[in-house]
Amino acid sequence: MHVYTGIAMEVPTQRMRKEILEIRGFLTEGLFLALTPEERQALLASSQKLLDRLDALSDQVLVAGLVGGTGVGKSTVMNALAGAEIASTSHRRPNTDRVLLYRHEGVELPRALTKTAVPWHEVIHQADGVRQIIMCDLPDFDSLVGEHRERVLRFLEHLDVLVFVTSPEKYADHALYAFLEGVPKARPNFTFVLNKVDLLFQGEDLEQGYKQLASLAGLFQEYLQKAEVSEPLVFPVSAEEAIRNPVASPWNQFPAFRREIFRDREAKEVMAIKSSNLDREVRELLSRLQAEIVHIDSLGRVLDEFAKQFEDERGEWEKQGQEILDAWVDTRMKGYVLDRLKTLAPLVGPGYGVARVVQEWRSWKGEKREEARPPSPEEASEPPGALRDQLENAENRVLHKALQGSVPASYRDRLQATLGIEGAWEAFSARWKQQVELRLLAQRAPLLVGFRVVQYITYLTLLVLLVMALADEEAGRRFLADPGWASSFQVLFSIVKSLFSMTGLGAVVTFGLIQVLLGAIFYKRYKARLERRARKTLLALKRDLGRIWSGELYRVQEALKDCWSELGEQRKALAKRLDRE
Amino acid sequence: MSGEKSPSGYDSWADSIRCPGLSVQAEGLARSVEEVSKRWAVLQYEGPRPCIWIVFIGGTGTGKSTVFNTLCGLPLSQTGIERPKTRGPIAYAYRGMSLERGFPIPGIRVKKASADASEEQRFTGQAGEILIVEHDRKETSHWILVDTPDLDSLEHDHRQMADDLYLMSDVVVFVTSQEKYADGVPYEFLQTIQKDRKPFFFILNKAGMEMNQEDLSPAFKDHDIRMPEDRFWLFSYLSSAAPEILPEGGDFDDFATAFSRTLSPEAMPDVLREERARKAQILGDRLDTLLGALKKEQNASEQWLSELDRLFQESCDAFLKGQQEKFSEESRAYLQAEIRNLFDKYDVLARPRRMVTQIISTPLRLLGFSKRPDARKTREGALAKLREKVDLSPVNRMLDQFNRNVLEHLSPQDQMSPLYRALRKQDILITEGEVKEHIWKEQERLLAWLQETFESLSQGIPKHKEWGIYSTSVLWGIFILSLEAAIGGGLGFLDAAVDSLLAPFVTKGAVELFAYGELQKVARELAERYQEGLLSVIQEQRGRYSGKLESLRTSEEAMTNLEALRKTVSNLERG
Repeated sequence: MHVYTGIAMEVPTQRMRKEILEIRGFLTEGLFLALTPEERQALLASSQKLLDRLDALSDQVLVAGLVGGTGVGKSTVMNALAGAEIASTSHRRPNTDRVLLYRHEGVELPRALTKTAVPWHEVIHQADGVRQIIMCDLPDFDSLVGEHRERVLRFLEHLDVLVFVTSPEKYADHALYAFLEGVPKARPNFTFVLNKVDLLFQGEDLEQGYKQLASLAGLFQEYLQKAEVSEPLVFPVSAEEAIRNPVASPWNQFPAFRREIFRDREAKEVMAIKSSNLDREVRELLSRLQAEIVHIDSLGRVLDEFAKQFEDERGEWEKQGQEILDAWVDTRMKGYVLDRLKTLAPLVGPGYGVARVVQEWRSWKGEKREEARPPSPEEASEPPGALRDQLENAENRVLHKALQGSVPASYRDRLQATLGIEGAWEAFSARWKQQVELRLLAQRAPLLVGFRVVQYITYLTLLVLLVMALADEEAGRRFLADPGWASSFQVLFSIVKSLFSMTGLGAVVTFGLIQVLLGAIFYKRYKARLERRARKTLLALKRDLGRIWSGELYRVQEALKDCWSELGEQRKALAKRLDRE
Repeated sequence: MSGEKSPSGYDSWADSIRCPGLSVQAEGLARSVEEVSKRWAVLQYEGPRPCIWIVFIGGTGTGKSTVFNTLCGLPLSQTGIERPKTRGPIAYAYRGMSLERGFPIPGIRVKKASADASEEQRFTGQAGEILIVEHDRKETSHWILVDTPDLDSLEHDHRQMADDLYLMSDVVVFVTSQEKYADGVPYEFLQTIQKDRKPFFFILNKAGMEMNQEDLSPAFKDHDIRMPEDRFWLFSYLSSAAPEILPEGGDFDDFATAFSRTLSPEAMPDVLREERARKAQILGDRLDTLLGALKKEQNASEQWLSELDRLFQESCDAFLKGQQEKFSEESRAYLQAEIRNLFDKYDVLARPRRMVTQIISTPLRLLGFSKRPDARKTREGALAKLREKVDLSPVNRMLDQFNRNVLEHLSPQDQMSPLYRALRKQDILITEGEVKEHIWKEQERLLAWLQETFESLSQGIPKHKEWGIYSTSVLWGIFILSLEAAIGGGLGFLDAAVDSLLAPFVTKGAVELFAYGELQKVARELAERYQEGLLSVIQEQRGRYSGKLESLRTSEEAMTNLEALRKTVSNLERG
């Protein structure tokens, strides 16, 4: 039998427990799993069973099962092992349909076994020499009664040691090797019995018999090795002869087989047998997760490729977005900005008058035009749909790649959720609106104090010029030489006098014309200033929105990176478990 | 399809049957095609040969070869305890039957040997080869006895070989043993034989002394096997090492007598007629199943294509809607400039007008008021410029969306199906470079069409209506306006755009005079062509998808051939 070293005894138990718990972790919390919920549940259930069995590892009883095709003589082997006829043998096939247990009276059945759904019955014995082991005779796995095979498979979990029984007629059957392959037990715990070899020794020629036996056993070994049982332990026996003859023929290795099965095993060895079986099952459970690594890698490739492409084209994306939002700001926001700026306060005198006239004229003329405007700034500041198209395009592209790479649907859903274009758009448009509002609020009607002062001075100068034009030159000079009540009165008098003359009329008309002209000039200047200011605001708005846009692109990139690193972590954890041998 | 065609002719129909894997599994269908073509080949091969094919079938180690040898009367097939022993089929046939000609199972070589009782000949056969051992025994000249490899060993090829030879068999000798008679795999085969109503002999070999037919009857009963008295034979001989020939006397002789009687030369015509008709019937059934599956697949393909059409339409609609909203200003301006340029060539008043424009604009330009107009562009230059400026990103975006939708909604679930793989090949996708090429080509065609239209208008209209130079010029003016309306007014609101732009220029009289309807037609056609040019990319992509499906499905011609074959087989069924 396989040689077990005593050191690695406690450690594998702990390690296996850790592994099983990790597997359960993947199954319950795994972010990326292509398994269906049912598959998850099934795997969880079998991992729970493994945990239970790990707890029962210290159980000293070994359970050995006789497994084989119909008609190879399992029950005869059982009888020969027991030394009494406990199992029914018959030439009718298939014969055994229930599991038969052969147990020492002082040994209790393992608890899990008592709960099995497979029908069984037992024979209690008092042979102390074979106390430690419970023998089981199982139904066949290859007959036309498919139920038998199911029972064998279901009962397998209770077995620690498997004895495969076959015959010179059946040792090359495909059914044996197909079954062998699917048994989740450590291969060193397999023993093979080639029964009915007495058929080879029926002739007179003993030597011929040995020759045939050697070639047959060699072929059997070869087939077993092909089926990945690296060092198969094969006993050519005749159970029937062992029952018949107290002293077996030299070619009959039944006694050796019996000794091997019933030999005394130390507690450590029993535990090693059990834990090696468990280990195999844990590995098989893990290999179910192997597929996830393939899926993770397929998504990883997609992400990697897309992230590179996105990085390369980022400038292009930003540029396109900027173009879209520039056009949007120019068409949608310009009117609002100008509206907000529009106040006539900085204009004084004639300038104000001109502005009012123009305004009235405009509003009278453009009543219809007003209707075309969107109803509220709230709606008007809705970000352009073209940007959304851009974002959706990113999603379309990465998902198309994922579909191309056969990434499973659950992974794709996860990817889509991480990108979260739908939800992100809400947030994006909230940020966008906020920014627009901020800029518009920040926009104040300019006070333009200097501009006002210039206007006042200009108008004052004009007034002074008018006074100078109307006043009598002589009176003025006198007033300057001797300022006093009399001289100022004289000046005033001369002004009134010229005001009501033709000269006065000309001066006043000229004054008025110049006033209007100045007003118009100031109004135009004021408008130009407003335009400049609005342009500045719009430019700033474009910059702000551009920043928001590139922020959004950055978010997409980060989301991809997050997805990538989540994947990477899960892969690392899985790979660590799977690659440990 | 005529009944006289050689077997190589069938391979061609078998090859022409394809399946994208939408409603059936492609692999299963391929298997069923293979089976049908084999069955058909067998029918044609056996038709002209008046002999009964007797095939020995059973599990490994049951002693098929021993029974075969005993019946041949020669230890031809090697026996032994190494399993599996027989590696390839061995046939025992009368000399001069020329069995090698047109052997119907593809991939099997035919080798011949001569039976010579005086020599020690033991054959084990070889994989992929049938060994025909010829003899000169007149009394069994109407039999062809075939020993086959096992059904159930770990050599998978053996099973395939047994299945193939079973197709050829007229009578089966099913050999099993005391140990194996309840095994699943051989038992299933027995059920198939029963279902096909093929004549058979059941031999329970190595039965020992205690067995009798009663032991087996519960199992037979449970699994619906009817076992006629004269077909059940029990050989009690238990071998030490497998014997080459069963000993004379006893069980075997009874069997041999019954066997010879049932399959006597006198009985042969009936046996053959019945069996060939049955083979034709089974082939007919298989063909029906195959045709059914193919029709289902054809229907699924049609549905797939209409789904593809729907996705295509959806993409187009979304695209046009988007275009209406943000028709690129620049490409519009360039297209308009290009139309103007073209129009200038055919405008009679173009030169005088340019002169006037220059006279007026020169002093203004000197004062810095207006820019100097661009030097007159060549058509190639305009195209190059246009290409530079055309914004392809909406088209590319539309493609990405379309491609995603196709894979998401139209890919089969089964990763093994041919369509699944074909849809994921990179070369099915239009690359960005190809998009560019495509759009350019479309625009070139558009401009060529414009040129042609201008040309024919410039020749045709004045002659017809004998208008003066002035009216021609006005006509051109309106024409150019309507074209620009078509390009500039978005694509969807074409009529409204054309109408609103033309209305101020067209009085009631002018409508008749200038054939307003004609102009509108041309303008609409231009807009439609422009629109089609953009959509042609996605059209091309759809074409690639549907072309792929077409290449994966069975052609109508192949279907017709298959139907014809079905008719031929029906005739054979009736004899």
